[in-house]
Parts: sequence; C-alpha cells; structure tokens
Amino acid sequence: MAWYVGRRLLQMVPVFFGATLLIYFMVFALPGDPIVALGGDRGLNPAVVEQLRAHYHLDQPFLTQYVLFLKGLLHWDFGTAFNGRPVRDLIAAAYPVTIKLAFLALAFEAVFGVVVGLIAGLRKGGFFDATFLLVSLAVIAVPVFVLGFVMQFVIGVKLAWLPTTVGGDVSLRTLLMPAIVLGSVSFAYVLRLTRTSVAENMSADFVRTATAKGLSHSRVVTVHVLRNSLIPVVTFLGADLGGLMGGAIITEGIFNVPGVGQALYRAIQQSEAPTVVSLVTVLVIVYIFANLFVDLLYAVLDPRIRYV
Amino acid sequence: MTDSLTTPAFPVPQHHKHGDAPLLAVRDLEVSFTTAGGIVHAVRGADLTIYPGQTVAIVGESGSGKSTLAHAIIDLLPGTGKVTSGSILFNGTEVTKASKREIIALRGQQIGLVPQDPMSNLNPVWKIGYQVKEALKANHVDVSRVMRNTLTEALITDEALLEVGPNGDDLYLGRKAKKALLRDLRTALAGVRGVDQAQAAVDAASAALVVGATTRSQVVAILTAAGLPDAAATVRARVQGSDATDRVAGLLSEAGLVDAERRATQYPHEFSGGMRQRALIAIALAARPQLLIADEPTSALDVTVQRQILDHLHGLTEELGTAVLFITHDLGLAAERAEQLVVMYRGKVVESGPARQILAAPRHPYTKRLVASAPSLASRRIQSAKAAGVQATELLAPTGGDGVSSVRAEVLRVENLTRVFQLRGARPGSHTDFKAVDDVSFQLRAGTTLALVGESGSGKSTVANIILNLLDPTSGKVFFDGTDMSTLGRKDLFAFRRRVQPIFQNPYGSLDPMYSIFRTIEEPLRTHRIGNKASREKKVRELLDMVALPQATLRRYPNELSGGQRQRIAVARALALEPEVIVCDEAVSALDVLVQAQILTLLNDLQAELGLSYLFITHDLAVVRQIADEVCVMNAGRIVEQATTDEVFDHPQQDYTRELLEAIPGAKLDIFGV
Repeated sequence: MAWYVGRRLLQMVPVFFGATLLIYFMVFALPGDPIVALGGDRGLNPAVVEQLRAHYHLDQPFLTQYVLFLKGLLHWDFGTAFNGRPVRDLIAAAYPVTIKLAFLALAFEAVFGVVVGLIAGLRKGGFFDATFLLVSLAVIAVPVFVLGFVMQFVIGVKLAWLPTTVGGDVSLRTLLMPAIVLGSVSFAYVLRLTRTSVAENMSADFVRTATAKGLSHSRVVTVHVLRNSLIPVVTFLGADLGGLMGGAIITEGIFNVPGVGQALYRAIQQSEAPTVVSLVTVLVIVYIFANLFVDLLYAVLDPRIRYV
Repeated sequence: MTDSLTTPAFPVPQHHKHGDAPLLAVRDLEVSFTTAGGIVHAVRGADLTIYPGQTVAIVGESGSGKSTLAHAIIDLLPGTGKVTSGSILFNGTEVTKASKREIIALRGQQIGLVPQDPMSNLNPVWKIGYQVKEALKANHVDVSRVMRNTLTEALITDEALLEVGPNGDDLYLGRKAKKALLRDLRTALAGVRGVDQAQAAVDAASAALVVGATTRSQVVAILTAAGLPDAAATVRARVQGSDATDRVAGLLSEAGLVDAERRATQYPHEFSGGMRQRALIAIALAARPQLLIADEPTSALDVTVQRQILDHLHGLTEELGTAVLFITHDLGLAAERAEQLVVMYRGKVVESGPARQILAAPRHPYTKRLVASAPSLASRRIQSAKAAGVQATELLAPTGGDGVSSVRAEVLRVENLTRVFQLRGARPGSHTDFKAVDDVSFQLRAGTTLALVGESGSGKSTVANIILNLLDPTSGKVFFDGTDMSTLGRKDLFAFRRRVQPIFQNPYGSLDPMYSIFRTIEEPLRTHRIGNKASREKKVRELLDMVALPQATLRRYPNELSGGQRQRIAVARALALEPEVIVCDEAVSALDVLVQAQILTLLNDLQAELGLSYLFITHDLAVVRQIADEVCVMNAGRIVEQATTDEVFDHPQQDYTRELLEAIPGAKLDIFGV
C-alpha cells in the first residue's frame, strides 16, 4: 500500500514537468505580442514596451523563460500577472471559489444520480426508469450553456428563487444554480451508471443467496446491491472531480463566478504564460490527487483490490 | 406406467422415523417464463414429496426444470418466472399463496439453500463472518444468550442449568470462556502432571473445544476427559454463552472450515472454491432449517473436494435431522446421496422412487438412456461387459496390455517439461516462483488416447498449452514426430499448427459468435490456403457429415446451437486440417451426460476411422475410463502415476490416484450386481 502510494506520487514528477513545459510552450507559441496588445489601439511607448518585455522575461528565448519560471516556483513565486498582481494571490483567490463550486456540483450529481439511478435500476423497464432515461438523454444532448441560460431565465428571472449571477457574493445560495448546471451532465452519467450497475447486481447470484438467507428486501438492496453497485460510480465521480474544476470555464462565464475558469480565460486571452501555467499546473495536481484518492477509495470499497 | 408416476404416490420408506406428515408436498406444479419468443413452460405438472429428515434427489440435464422447481419452493424464481398453477405445501404453509412476509420468514429459517456456484454466490465485498452473521440475525436466531442466562441462573438452581442434555442445550462455548477454561485446565494439571504432559492435554482440549459450536454439556465431558477435577462446577462458572461472532465461528467449524475464528474475518476471494462452499453451507444451516435445498452444490468443485464436502454435508444434515432436496445432473451422485430419486425431463417428473430401484430397473425410456450414459456408472458397465467378453472393440482394443501400444509409432513426446511462473510479491521487485509443471515426461503413440488427469491447479492445462506451442516451457523439450519444437522457425511452426489442433472446454466461448458455422469451419482451411472456394465448401460439408450435423447448420450462428452441437462444430473445426494429434482440454466437461456420451462416442469413432491421436485433458476419471488407453495422473505439477487405463483403474499404485478413484460419484454403488 505504502509502496503503491509512493510510486503514484513519484509518477507526479514527470507529469508535473511534462504538463508545465507543454503548456508554457503553447502559451509561448500563441500568435501576437501580449505586451503590444496591453496598449490596445493607442499603442505604447517603445521604451515602455522594452521595459515590460524585460520585466516579464519575454525578451529571453523560450527555454530560458521556462527555467526562470521553474526557478521562481522554488521560492514559492508563481510570477506576476500583467496587472502587477502576484499569480499566487490570484490562485489563492480563485481556487477556493472553484473548489466550492466543484464540490457542490459533485454532491449534487452523486446524491441525485445515485438515488435516481438506484430507483430506476430496481424498477428497470418501468415508468420511472423510462422517464429518467429520457431526462438523462436530454441533459446529455443539450449543451451546458443552453441549460445554464434557460435556468437563469426561469429560476433566476421569472421565478426569482435564486440569484441569476454570483459576482462578488460567493455563497451556497448563489453557487447552487451554477453547481446544478455544472453537475448536470455528470448527473446523467452517474444515473445511467448506477442504474445499469444496480440492475446487473440485482440478478447476481450472491443477491439471490442473500434473499435465500431470509433477509428483507430493503436489506438486500442496501447491503448487497448498493455497495457493490457504487464501485464503478465512485471511480467515475473521482475522475469527474478534476473534470468539474477544469470544465467550469463555461459555467463560470455564464454565472459570472470569480473562479479558476474565469481567471484562466482572461490569462489565455492576454497570453500571460506564468498565470496560465500556474493555474493549469495546480489543476493537474488536483486531478492527480483526486485520481489517487479514488483509487485508494476503490480498494476500501472492493476488498479484492490490493495495491502492491 | 406414466399414470402410476404422475399420481402423488411416493412410496413412504418403511424405515421412516419422523411420522407420516410430509414436510414438503409439491402437487401438479406448473412454472412458466415469459420470453420474447412466447411463454416457456419450465416445469409442467411436477409432483414432489419430502418427509422430515429424508434426502430426495432431483436428477435431470440442464434445462430439465430441476433448478426451477427448487427455486419455486422458496419463491426465488428469476426474472419473469411464475408459478401458474399447482400447490407447494411446506409444513402447513401454502407457498404459492403466501405473503411476502411469510415467504421471508420461511427463507433461511425453515428452508435453507446451498447454491450451485460457490465462486459467485458470496458477496465479494463483505467478510465471510459478516455474511454468516447476517443469516443468524435475519432469522432471529438468539445468540446473545448472556443476559438470558444470567436471568435464568437467578431463577433456578445451578444443577438444573447443567442438566440440559447435549441436544437441547444450545448454550455454546464463547471465545473468552474457552481461554479461561484452558487456563484453569493448565493450572489444575500443572501441579499433578509434568509440564509437558499438561501442555499436551491442554492442546488436545483446545482442539476439541470449538468456539460457538461445542455446547456446555460437551465442554464438561471434554474437560473431564482431559483430567480437570470438578469440571462441571468450573464450566458452570465460566461458560456464560457465546455471542454472535462466536456462533459464526462455530457454524463455520461445523461446516468443516479449519481455523474458523480467523477465517471468518477474511473475504471470499481469500477462500478456495471448497472453502466458499463450506461457508455457504454454514449460511444455509445457520438458522437450523428443516429443509435444505442443495442445488448442484459441488458441480463446480474438484472431485476429491466434492466428496469431502458431500460427506460432511450428509453427516451434518443427518445429525441435525434436516431434510435435503438434492439437485444434480449426475445420476451416480444422486443415487449415492439420496434415498429417493426424482428424474425430471423437459419440465416433467418422468420417474420417481427409491434410488437403487430406479438405477437397477429404470422404467421410463429417458431414465434408461440416462442410466446407460452416466459416465460414473457406464464405466462400471464397460468393465462388466468386458468380463462378459462383449467389449466395444475400438474402445478397448489398443489397450491390450500385451505390448500392442508399444508397437505403435510415437507421435508426440515430452521430456522433463518444466514451467515456472513468477508471482508478483508484496514489494516491488520481489517475487516468488511457482512451478506449475514440474519435470513432466510422457509420450503419445499414433492412433491412441493419452489422458492427463488431475484436479484444477495440477498443471495439466499448462502442459496442453506448451504442447500447442502457445506457451514456452522453462526447461524441457517437446518432440513432435521426432522434431524438437523449440527449434522450429515461424514457417515450420505454422505447418506444425496444421498437424496439432485443439478442442477447448467451453463450446460457448471457443466459437466466434459473429462467425457463421460455415465460416468457423472454413477458417482454418483459408488460413492455411488449402484448396479453392468450391473444394473448401465441399470439405466443410464433409466435415459436418462426419460430426453428424445436418447441412442446414452451415448458415446458422453459434448462439442458435445447443452446447453439444457447438462442441461438434469445435470437433469439425479441429478436424478440418486433417491433423494427427488433437489436444482435448476438458472437451466434454461442460456438457450434459447424454451429450457427453455422444461426443465421446464421436471422438472414438473418428479415432478408429482416421487414426487420430488424442491428448485428453480432464479432471473426470469416469470419462477417462471411457476414452483413454493410457493415463498420466498429475498432482501439483508432477506426474504421480503413469500406466494403461486398466492398470490405473484396477491396480492404482499411488494413494492420490486411489483418492481420485474413490471420489468418482457412484463408484461404490453396486447396482448391477457385478
């Protein structure tokens, strides 16, 4: 077990260097001069441009820029954004918001996906099952921004149950609607995964044996069907956590959430290499840890899995 | 004849000791399934009667409705299965009309089920102990008797408490009490005897005292025998009763699981098949049901394990007075284990009565066929027929025993074959070596059959894979027709594949479901670029004739065929390239007895016709008797005995071989009066 975790953590080293180098290069290769773009239509004094270039090391060759960035990381310095704000502060401000949003979305899709999927799986072929299969299909088919705008209009404007945008007020109330929109597609997948898994386990031999023991139906379902069915679902949810954080760009845009997605979008537009790379690197690390956590959780749920 | 059978006239055995009211009476039961293709009647007017403490076996091939009938009794019909008419009366309860609550009360508490496949019938994510404990809790078995015992003790005298007899006393020994009692015993003996002797006595007592299964009065007897003075008083003071965990360990020990206390904390995947089946038996008997339904309880296990488990189950149910409904496809097994036989065929009970009577004088044509083809019984018949001088010539001719076989040219020889697998250890880089095949040598002569016999894990399939050149040996050589196979290049290997063909165990898995039968049989011809389109088609048609399948089969797909038909296709495919050697890896093990007998006859005929040599790999000695000329018995990777079939069967040299022979179900039955 310890060996396994150690190996997985060691694997993070090449992933870290690979990801940062690749992203740094992609931002470097973006067309246009970010400093000139800063000046907008009016244009900047050439001396100022030179000075800014030197300040952000943009006059150096690519590899030097990259090494200087890595060197900064050693001192816990992620570089500076073009507006003069340290990237570290940006991360500190944006990540908590996105993490809150992602976990809220995760909770939504896990709870509703599993509950609806369980009922659908137990009543496979029935009315409930058919209805929610259709709903899940619709949710998967409709683009997220359509769902986002429709909910904004109906729940936010017409019914006025929840605020339409988040803005500066980050709270459970304001994040609820963005979280539902963000988790909607995964909710559909969790539902389908749970449903299939439950339906399959219901006809498993060990479930029949459990019934033959004299257990009540509810006990058979909770003890013998649900736990076994959750194994694939948990794997999906863990991998999805990383996806939710990275995939929040659109949702954060629709609901004006001051999170990683918004910050990343702005940084890419301005070709701020250190900002983009730092934000993405943290995302990559979160993703790796989420996956490791899921793999370990997998072993807890399924005793047959042994990590060596 | 049929009239007398369909009436519920089951002769009540004279020796019956439990009174005359049947425990279970199934009358005119109809069960049907609704499928896309219409309604399928799985059970059609079946009758079944079981008296308390009686063992009844239902025999039939797969699809005969025997499992469906059993599942109907505890309302566990799968999917769309429904009882459409008839009655199931269990101990005064009409099961077909019972409420959900009544059914749940019945399951486990009054009717236990030992399912077929131990590998899939335990929930992989819960510990064994938990799954047994669940059965106790669900059926309200009162195991925490500590409180009640204290209460009783306050009310009655100590003597009365201990006077409870061995059967009525359900106060079991607990873990803590066992430790304390052994400590008492050691102290008491240490003064009287020497330290060594005292230790030996304590060890013996420790083995005899089973936590959760030994009752208080038994504890007294054991400790008195061990030499503890005034054992009764000590036990009275110490034994307060067992908790649920103790009882779980006791039930598992009862089912024959060694070291049950520790085993209960393990997961199913840490158990072997036999151990899992013991756990399932413990679960089924946990609440002491009056009827135990054993649905092919050992068909997935090795023969020797099968025997141990059935013996144990028999002893246990006998002791507890549990009636057993035993479901099996093996007539020999049924006859050996049950007093009464019920033969089912296509959903109907075609014959029933005392086991021996049915075997000795089957009346229904189906039963007659079944008795004739049961491998375990048939082998006895070949033997008796041989004694009468009417032997099946192509079956026994090469065995002559007078050197006939040594005259035949050798076609395949393996020398000192060894294969080591590396098992990954707990730490990176560490591994242990596992010798799957250890110094195996034998030779196969042209036109004869060599059987490689052994239990699962004995390395016989590894040998087959090495011979088929699907796996490289760690050391040792395989000579085919005098050529060392390890020297073959790619081209030679391709040519070699043409001369040696396999037939595998599972006809469902070894045929590509997307290939039509024609394409399946034609594929090897195409791969080896033999003939043109027309000549290949002609060849395929010939092959179909050879395996006795209608030409119409060509356009069909594997899923439209039965298991036996599929195995015939596999035989045809193996024959397509006109090979010299066919490696049959458990080629008939997955088939029903009647089909098995047909395929074996087919293989025999083809051998006589085409001069084929078979390497026959099987765990089933009964099959060996029917087909093999020579036998190699494998155990733990080694060949422990190697001789002609007759020698092995008549004069086994090794204990292991004798054990395997003993384990053939029905081997001990002497029905034909030979």
